[in-house]
Amino acid sequence: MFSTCTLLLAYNVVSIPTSPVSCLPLTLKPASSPGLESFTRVAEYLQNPQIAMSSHLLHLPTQAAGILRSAPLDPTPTSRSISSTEPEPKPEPEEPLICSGCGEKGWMFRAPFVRQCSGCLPSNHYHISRTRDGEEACWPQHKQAALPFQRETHVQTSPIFQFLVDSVMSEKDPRKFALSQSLERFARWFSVSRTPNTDSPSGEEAHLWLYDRFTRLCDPKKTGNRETQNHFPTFISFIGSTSAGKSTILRAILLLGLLDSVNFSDTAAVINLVNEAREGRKQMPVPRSADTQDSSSPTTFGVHLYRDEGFSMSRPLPNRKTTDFTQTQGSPSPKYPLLFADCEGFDASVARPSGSILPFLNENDDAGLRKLPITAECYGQGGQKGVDLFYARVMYAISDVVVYVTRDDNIMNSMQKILEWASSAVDKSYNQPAQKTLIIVKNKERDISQNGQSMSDEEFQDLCLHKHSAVLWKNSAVLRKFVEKHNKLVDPEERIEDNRKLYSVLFHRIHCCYIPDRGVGPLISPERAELVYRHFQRLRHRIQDAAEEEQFLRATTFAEHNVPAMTHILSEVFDHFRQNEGPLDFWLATRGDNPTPQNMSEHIANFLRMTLGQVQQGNRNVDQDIITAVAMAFLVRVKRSHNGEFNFF
Amino acid sequence: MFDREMLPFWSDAMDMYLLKYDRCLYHWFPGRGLDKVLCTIRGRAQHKMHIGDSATRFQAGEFSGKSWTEVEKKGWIDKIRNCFVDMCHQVFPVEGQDSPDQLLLGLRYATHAEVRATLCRMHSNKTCFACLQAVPDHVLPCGHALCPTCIQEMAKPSRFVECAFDVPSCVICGKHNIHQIQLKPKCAGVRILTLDGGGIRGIVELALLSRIQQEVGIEVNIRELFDLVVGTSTGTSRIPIRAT
Repeated sequence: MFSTCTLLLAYNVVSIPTSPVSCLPLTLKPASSPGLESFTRVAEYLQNPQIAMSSHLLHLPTQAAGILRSAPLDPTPTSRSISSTEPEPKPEPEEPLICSGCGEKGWMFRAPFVRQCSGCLPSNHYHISRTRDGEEACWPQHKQAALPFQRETHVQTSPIFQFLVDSVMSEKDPRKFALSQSLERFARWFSVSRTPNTDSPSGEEAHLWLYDRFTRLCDPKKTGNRETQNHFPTFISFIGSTSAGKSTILRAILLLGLLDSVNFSDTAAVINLVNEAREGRKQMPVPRSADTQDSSSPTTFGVHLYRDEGFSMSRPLPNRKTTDFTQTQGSPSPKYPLLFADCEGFDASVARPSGSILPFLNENDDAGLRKLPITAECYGQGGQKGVDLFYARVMYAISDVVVYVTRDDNIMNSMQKILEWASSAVDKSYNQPAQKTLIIVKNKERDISQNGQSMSDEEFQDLCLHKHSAVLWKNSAVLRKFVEKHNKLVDPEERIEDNRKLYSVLFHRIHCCYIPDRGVGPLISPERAELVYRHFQRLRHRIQDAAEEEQFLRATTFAEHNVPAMTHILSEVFDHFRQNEGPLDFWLATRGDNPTPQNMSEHIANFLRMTLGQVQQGNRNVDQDIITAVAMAFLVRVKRSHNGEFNFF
Repeated sequence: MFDREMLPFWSDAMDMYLLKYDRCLYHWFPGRGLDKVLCTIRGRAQHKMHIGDSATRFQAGEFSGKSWTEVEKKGWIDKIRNCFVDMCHQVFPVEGQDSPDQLLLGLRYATHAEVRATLCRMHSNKTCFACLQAVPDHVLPCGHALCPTCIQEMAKPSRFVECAFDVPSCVICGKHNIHQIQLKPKCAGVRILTLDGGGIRGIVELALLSRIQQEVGIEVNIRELFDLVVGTSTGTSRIPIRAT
């Protein structure tokens, strides 16, 4: 097994053109076995990192790729089978790079190493930096050849940033791309399906397809509340128009989380990890294919859910009463998991191309799928707008942090869209403990420099939020309606008079940041890739800080929800919005009307809730009854805890 | 002892009640001819403004409810402490008197009778009102529920059935309903009987159960040996047969 692992890692790093099939240790099933089983096994293995290190899993993606190739377009499960006899296609050998100095061949990630020179950018000149024996080659000669006052600018650029950004942006390897697409189905959380129905007034009916994704991520062993009682998940939603880059940014954020576990200076480890992710062993949104025709089609349908594997939320919150923080130090935190929801873009089904991957996937063979009719008219019979509204209200209700991704150069348009999105949902959930944090991400920002300098996030935030000459609801009917309704119901000092007030009504806090454009053609450079990488990193930190702040707010208001409670809340949220057009009362959804106490303090608080909540205030008899009952409870506790030594004094 | 061991429970409970459960009593009229709107916010920590039954129906304003100043909180603590000390003096053994357990039992009955007017109107399946320490498992005919420990402490052990307790009247509301509660034996784990289906072949399971009952030989119905009995198909029809 050791040699197998070694060989495969070597294959990942240096791309030795050896067929991995030759070292398959797994006995494959006969052709009649349903391919679905293997997919499920892949998904199960992916949930369990311990098993993931076994040699079996190292080869499962290869099998899955075989399944995909052998599978006809007929979606019946039995028609997909594992074919062990089919030869694996050899990966295309990496194109060598030619040194502009000595003309020798070299590679980025294997000897002889070549590097681009920052002093020669943006021309694609490569120079051999080190030979196979580790000796310096023609690089010193190249540097000496430069003019003395320019030598300091001639520095070897690191290829790792280019590699990481390329891995995030698109997948050139068709095998890995197909594999990512096939495995992405396991990340589905919920979606709305519209089917024609002549009996319905709108001519169609809608169903909510709900997968057990949350349980698989947060309680894979299905222990109920035994192991997950002290786990408090935080939801972070990625929303935006179709093709805005939500999935790409989320992929980058998840990849950065993965990199927490390795030393970034260890290039081989980083590349191995990224390759593992690309092979489908770490679940993240599917990248775009290298096909430029595909650049505007949506990649996500419905809502997909991913769990962060980084060191997020590893710091104990100051007011948390939990004393066991040993789990959270230096390892991915199971206590405060970050869950990223990748939401279908606005108007996604309108933009859905005819040749999308959906027809290939058969939803019927998912064991954890529940199909529930959407009976509320505004969602079920509202066409695509109804679907978008359903997503907006559900995502707003459950998210702690909302990340809005846009590529629109007109910032005012973007702001209007996100505020419309929030205003359509804000009055549909109330009694919530904390408002949401909004992070606006401008993707592929080209004008990063106004005076030759990169714009800081603060400058960008100022540009987004405060540089509008007009009020944002002036040209938006939805916002105007919301503002008018709001102003009628509140005191004069609470009325929305300017944009700042509108922001504060809809969101607890708003942050803005941008991801620079990587560039096209000759503009692609390692320096540019590093800039993009740094912005991804900054965005991740921003998201982590926002999530931590929301958790802090929840902790201070006794509104933390552990996994069992969150399971119940999600069930309530889906059921409510599926059947009801009215607002969702979070007090009821979180069982605030009938909490389950865990200790004596909570039992007494529950007792106070019932006694003081049901009687008229200031009733002296009730106050005295409470005092007597609590004193008696303390006496009983003393008796029970000092059993046999019933002496108080 | 009170300040060291009990006060933290009360302080935490009070904070939790005020921040999480206390209800704002504010109400307003949104317009002429419109119904009164009540603030629905529970918990002072979550109260930023008055919110009605929809997030768009709100008004600015502070939490409106019973005031809980530090002085008032301290007053409550003093009262509970004094009450606790009085109870301790009543229960503390004096030579020639009953044992503390019996005195405590008598005091519990007396105290519950004293606060009956408040407690009898409330029902909870999450908090045992007899001890305020555990989730109650056993519901009496009147609707009040007790935890197993309170049943063991306050009810009378059955003379005829092992691990059973007779509850002549509800400890909380005082209603007379003779009720027997069977508790799990101390050494028992979770006992579940599952019965398969299989049509006429189900008779084999019936014979087996009958034989088990004979072998146990202590005149106990086999249903008493299990906490949960489940079955599929024919198995479901055998549950009542053996259980009666």
